[in-house]
Amino acid sequence: MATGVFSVHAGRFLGRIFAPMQTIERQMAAARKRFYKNVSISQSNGMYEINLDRRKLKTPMSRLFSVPNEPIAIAVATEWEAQHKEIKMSHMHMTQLCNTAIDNPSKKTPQQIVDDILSFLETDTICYREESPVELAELEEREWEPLLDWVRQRYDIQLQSSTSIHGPTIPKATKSTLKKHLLHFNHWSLVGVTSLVETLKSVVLSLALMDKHLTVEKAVALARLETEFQIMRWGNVEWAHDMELTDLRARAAASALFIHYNSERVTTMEKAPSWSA
Amino acid sequence: MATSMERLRVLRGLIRELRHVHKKGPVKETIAYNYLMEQYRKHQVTDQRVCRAHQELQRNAETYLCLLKSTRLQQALHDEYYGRPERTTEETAKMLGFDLPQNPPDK
Repeated sequence: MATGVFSVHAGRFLGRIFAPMQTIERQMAAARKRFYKNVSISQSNGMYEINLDRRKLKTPMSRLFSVPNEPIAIAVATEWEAQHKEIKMSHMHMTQLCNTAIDNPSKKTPQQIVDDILSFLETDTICYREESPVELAELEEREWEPLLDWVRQRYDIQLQSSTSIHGPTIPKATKSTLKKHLLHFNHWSLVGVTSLVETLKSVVLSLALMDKHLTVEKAVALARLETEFQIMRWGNVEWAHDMELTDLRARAAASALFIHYNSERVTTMEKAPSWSA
Repeated sequence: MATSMERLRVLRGLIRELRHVHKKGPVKETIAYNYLMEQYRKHQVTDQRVCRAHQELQRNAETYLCLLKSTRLQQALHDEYYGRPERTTEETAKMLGFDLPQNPPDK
């Protein structure tokens, strides 16, 4: 009798411990089926919203999904259209970036976001050099050094590469110049910059891509220079290397577009009417 | 500056990717297609006047093409290697270019 009571209690107790874990597992495993037929965009108060049939799209924190410009809204709508049987959020980078910008789950101020971005500078891929093998060291020198020259000139900063495990020392003036530059961006763009820097693991490469000094393909190739070097030596493994490559390219491209359209006021100048006609 | 051939190549690539996105129905009815064509036409008009906007459109088009293409390839690779139940020992060996010891290739 007593043991029976005990086991019931124990069962409840264990249930309480394990129940949340089970629900988490279930959520992870079951991808949601596509529950809508048509994706459309509607405009209200100068903002763009996404409609799945008659329902308005919402963010994970249940806020209304509304974005400030048309190209981004169209890219998001296209992502939802591209989900054929199941909704795979992990392949919807533009939607994710918008969600992060709207919800701001980490509740960071622009100042904090910029500080986080610049903390990547201390371990910037471009500034971290190898000494051996010699071929790799030469490759890095050949591919990365011109970029370092470019960033020094473009932003008028001091930045050195290093072969030490501690990485390069970043002058205070460099940080403050870049900080000033990044603080010009609005919150939405900064979400994009954060994602770009996390993808490329480099502030320098991110700036070069944002300034359209590099294409996405080139920026990603430079970000995984050592990987490409090892692939040349040992061969390419499709299910690891190519997966990583396509993932990085998609993320970098989404971030670059997100930054572009959220930071630039897009104005089109119509051709002036020709008076001779 | 990008040549008109180069511009057309990117535009064609984008339309091809949009066809993958919209498997049912004509691509011409989609929002993305119409926006894209509108942008390309608008910038054709300003061709003689501003180059910067033009180059910017080209770069953004290339970037968007990269996004669509990479996402599609990523999905395809995922389905091929991770999107199905566990492989048999034989399939795994084949993936790595090996045969299992009990069935050597010459027998």
